[in-house]
This record gives sequence, structure tokens and C-alpha cells, in this order.
Amino acid sequence: MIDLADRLELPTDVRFDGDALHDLALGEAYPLRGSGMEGMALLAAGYSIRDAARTLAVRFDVNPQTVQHDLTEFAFQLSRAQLVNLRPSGWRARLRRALQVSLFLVVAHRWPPARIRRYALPDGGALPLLRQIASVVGIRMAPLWIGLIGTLLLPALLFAPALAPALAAMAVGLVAAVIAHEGGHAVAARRAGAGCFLVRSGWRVAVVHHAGPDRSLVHASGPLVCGLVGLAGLAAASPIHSLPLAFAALPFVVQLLALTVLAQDGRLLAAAKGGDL
Amino acid sequence: MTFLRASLIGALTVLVIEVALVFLLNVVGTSQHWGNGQLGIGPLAIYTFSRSGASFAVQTGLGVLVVAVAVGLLNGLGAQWLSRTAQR
Repeated sequence: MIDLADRLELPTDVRFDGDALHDLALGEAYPLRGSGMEGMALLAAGYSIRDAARTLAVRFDVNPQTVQHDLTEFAFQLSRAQLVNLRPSGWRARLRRALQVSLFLVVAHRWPPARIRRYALPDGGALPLLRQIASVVGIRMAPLWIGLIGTLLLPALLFAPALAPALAAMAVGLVAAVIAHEGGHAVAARRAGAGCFLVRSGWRVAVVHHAGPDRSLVHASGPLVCGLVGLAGLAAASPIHSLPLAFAALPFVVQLLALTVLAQDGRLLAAAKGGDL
Repeated sequence: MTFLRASLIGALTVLVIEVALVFLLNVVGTSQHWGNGQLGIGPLAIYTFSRSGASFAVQTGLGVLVVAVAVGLLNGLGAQWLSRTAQR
């Protein structure tokens, strides 16, 4: 859902230089022509979709409704291509968005399609990469985690309070496992010389990297890192009989299932030809 | 090739998860004071629990291998089907 009050935000690894959008992470350039170039210039300058459409309609003496429609479509395509982030501007737009989501829930009985948001991943080793991924998964996704973990922990606290520490540890392990999984992909992609960035859409979070013929290790690295950490955690929990440590390690081990065709990583891994695995 | 590769990956993945579960069952069984028992498919044992006094042990059975091979084959078939669907 795009609101006319939305503004475009260029991620730090995407640059607009007047006649093309440059994806610095993947090393791709997307040339723009004519009205697309003019529209992008206004949107990149901080205009909302509505204001940019008005300006273009006056400049080219065309129907404002048509320009508004075309510009909204253009912004939607750029967002889907993970080249820009759309953000609502002002409290009215936020309120409208909340109402739209509520209406969608009432009418369609499901969540509306979540917006795609791209985050640049920094250069310079595994630690800055992990820090950035942790800030997205752990902090920006915190409301979602709190909602999920709260609904899991509340019944446990009511009916089996003795298991509450173990379940709380499992919740922490779940968030940490997602960070380790995506961190594994990002570090492996960088080591393979492939640019990458992080994308989030609602619950879904993924590292996007350049497709190449030798990316087997990149696809496998996320689940493998989690599997190793999970096995180490369980092996450590076993002699000391620590239930919280064992439960914290469980989500890491479950991530190994991503190596099967049930998950995108496993499907890519199975389809990979040659490669380094 | 896709079938073999995916079968091998699937079987190994499940085998590792099953080994990891031994540790988990050991911790849970010890803390929850489980007695003797068996987890399996019919007569085929996957895990066998045994308690003698204060000590608790978990052993794997032949079922672990059977499950790993079965899941591996399913993974291989799934990968082959996905590959054929993608080619069409």
C-alpha cells in the first residue's frame, strides 16, 4: 500500500546521480529517461509523491491525476526492486496507514502486504556486519518479537511457570539465531566477493547478494553457522543439565532445516551447479 | 545430480538434528526425571531412554538412520520436482 504522502528514502548503498540509479552493493546501474528522471529527481530531493506529481503536472502541463498514478506506480516498482525505501511522512500519514491496516485486517482477515525496507551493510569485517544485522533484527523488529514472544510466554507463565526460564531462553535464542543465520550469509557473501544488503518485509528478513555460479557456500553458510552454534550449545548444556541453555540452543539447531528444500536456502543449494560445497 | 545432492544434504541435515536432539532429550530427561522408555516408529527405536538411579541416558537406535534416509530421499524428490517445474 502506497500513500500519496509517502516520501522516498535512498538507502546509503543506492545513489541517484541525475540520470541513473546506482546499486552500489550489487554494482548495478538502472538508467532513467524522460519523466522518470524528472520524477526521481523530485522524489530524491524529498518531495512526497503527491507534491512531486503536482510539480510535474504543472511543469509538463498534463493531467495531475495521470502523473500521480504514474508516479505512484514508479515508486512501487522501485520499492519492489529494493532500490528505495518508502516512508510515511507526518502523523496524518501514519494514522492513515494504521487505519488502512485495520481496514485490511477487518475486510481480508489477514495482514496487508508488508513494506520492503532495505538496509545497507557496512564494509570492514564480520563484526560491523553482525552489529548492523543485530540492530535491524533485534531492535527494529523488536515490536514483532515482543508480540510473538509475549503470546508464547504468557500461557507458559500461567500454566507451567517452572518452564518460563527455559522458554524465555528459547525466545532469546530465536532472535539470536536469526541474527546468526543472516550474519552467516552476509559474511560468506563478502568473503566470496559478492556485494550484499539486508532486506526486511514484516517478519521476513534476508540478505540479498549478487547471484553467481559459485554461491553454494553463501547459501549454506547461514544454516551451517546456526547448526554449529546450536550443537555447541546443546553439547555444553548436556553435562551441566542446563534446561535454559538447551532451549536457547534449540532455535539454532532448527535453522539447519533451512538446508532442505523447505526453505529458499535449501532450494538454491540443491539447484546450484558446481560451486564450492 | 540434483536428486543425489539434495538427498545427501537432506539426510545429513536430519542426522545432525537427530544427534543434537540426543543432547536436548538428555537435559530434559534428567531435569524432568524421566524413567525408562523408547521413542520410535512401531518397533523401530529412534531414541531409547534408560534410568539407573540418579543417572539418565539417551541412546540412538536404527530408526535414526531410517528417518535420515527417508527425509533425504524426500528432499531429493522435492528438489527434482522443483527443478523440473522451474525448467518448464
